[in-house]
Amino acid sequence: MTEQEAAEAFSGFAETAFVSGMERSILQVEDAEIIALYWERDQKAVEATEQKYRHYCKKIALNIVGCDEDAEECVNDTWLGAWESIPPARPEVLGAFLGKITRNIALNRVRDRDRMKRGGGTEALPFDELGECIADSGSGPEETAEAGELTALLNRFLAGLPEERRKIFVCRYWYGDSVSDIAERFGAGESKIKMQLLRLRADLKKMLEREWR
Amino acid sequence: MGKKISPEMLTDAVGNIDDRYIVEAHADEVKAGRVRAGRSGGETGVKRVKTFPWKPLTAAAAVVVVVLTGAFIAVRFGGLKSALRSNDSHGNNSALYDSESGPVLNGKNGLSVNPVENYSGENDSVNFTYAPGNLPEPAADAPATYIPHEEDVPLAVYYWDSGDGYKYVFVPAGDNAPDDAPDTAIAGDFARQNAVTAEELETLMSDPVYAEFIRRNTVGLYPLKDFGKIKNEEKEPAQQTDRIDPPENTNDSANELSAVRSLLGITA
Repeated sequence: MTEQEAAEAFSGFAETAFVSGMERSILQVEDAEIIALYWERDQKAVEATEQKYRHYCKKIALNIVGCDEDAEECVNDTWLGAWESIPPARPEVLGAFLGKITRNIALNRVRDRDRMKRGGGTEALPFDELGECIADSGSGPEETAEAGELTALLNRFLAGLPEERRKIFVCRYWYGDSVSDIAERFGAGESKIKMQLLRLRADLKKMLEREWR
Repeated sequence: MGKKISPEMLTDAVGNIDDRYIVEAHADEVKAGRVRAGRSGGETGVKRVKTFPWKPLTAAAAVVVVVLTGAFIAVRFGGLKSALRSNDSHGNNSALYDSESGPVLNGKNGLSVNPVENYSGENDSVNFTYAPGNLPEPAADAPATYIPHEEDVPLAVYYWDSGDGYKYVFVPAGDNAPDDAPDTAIAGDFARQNAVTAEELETLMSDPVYAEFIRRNTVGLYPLKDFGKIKNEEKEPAQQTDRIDPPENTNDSANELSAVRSLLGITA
């Protein structure tokens, strides 16, 4: 899928999802136009973004924070984040760009909440399962991995996966979708999805062990 | 020299993957014209659009036809109850009526008549309700485990002593094992995550469809030490990670294994 196709598909996804109760004129505003509004520092950009992507971003936030009120705040913070980031950023896929902001804000919120619990236990998130992929560091001096390197490795890992397995990985570990949601979406049993996720984590662990030793 | 990665770093790195993969994960939903709701259902405002449910409708129509035909026969030939009762839990022969619990039109997998509702495991004439690949989802209170059923392959049940009683796990067995059969590299994790106790196994077997499926396909009960031999005979024993030793053979354990064997319908 090219960047152009991705942008078109995403635009279609958002429109399909949020068509109810939305003004037609807003639906017709292309992402490029919204981004142009940001660059002109026109506050209509935020309004258009909210109308087009509010529910998408809220779904991501809700998957992570698990609470409607917190999810709302994350979404509102997303608009502020977008306003502060564009410019200088000029995202090629606005939806993914906003989703990333929402995901980061929601994750930080959950981490802050866990820290404030002071030993009261942390909330289990789908992303926690990724901890299994981290290999023992072994003996000897260590250097901290750079985030960019790690992301590049993950992109290579994803590129090497068959499409369905890649989607399952992204649904679970990027969107934070529940196993039952993923199972329903792919028309499979939950046990099969759990098995696929287990094998994906095992494969990622092998890759990390191979490339980071 | 190793590079240190924390779980948070990995989670954050996943967050920065290429945009195309983020979009791709939802692109097919666009084509299908449906979008899933989020965790809080409709509150998220995401509109759930489903394709027209032909399959359930067809199944429902079939059930209606069966019921109406049955009713017609009943009225025509002398009483609904007596017509439907023919093989209930008291030895009669009916898929539709049990003299104690009444009609057994259950809701498994949508509307369907479940002819194994009163299956005793002894009546060969009972029709199976599943075909390979469409075993219904287990009941909500069923123990969480993995039962391979994508193909109609033989199942092996492995057991080990967890220190807190025996645990059992299902895996595809034999030459026909599908590609997603667990290999030794994940044997330990797989076994732990999908294991059930004897009690949970009993719960699982209380579902007649699952019980029938499991009894029909299970070929044996083996200690987990042989786990790696199924798919990886060529590997050195040292490569078979996460191996778990077989249990001590006490009277209690022998009794439990015997009961489980019987539960699973293993005669050998």
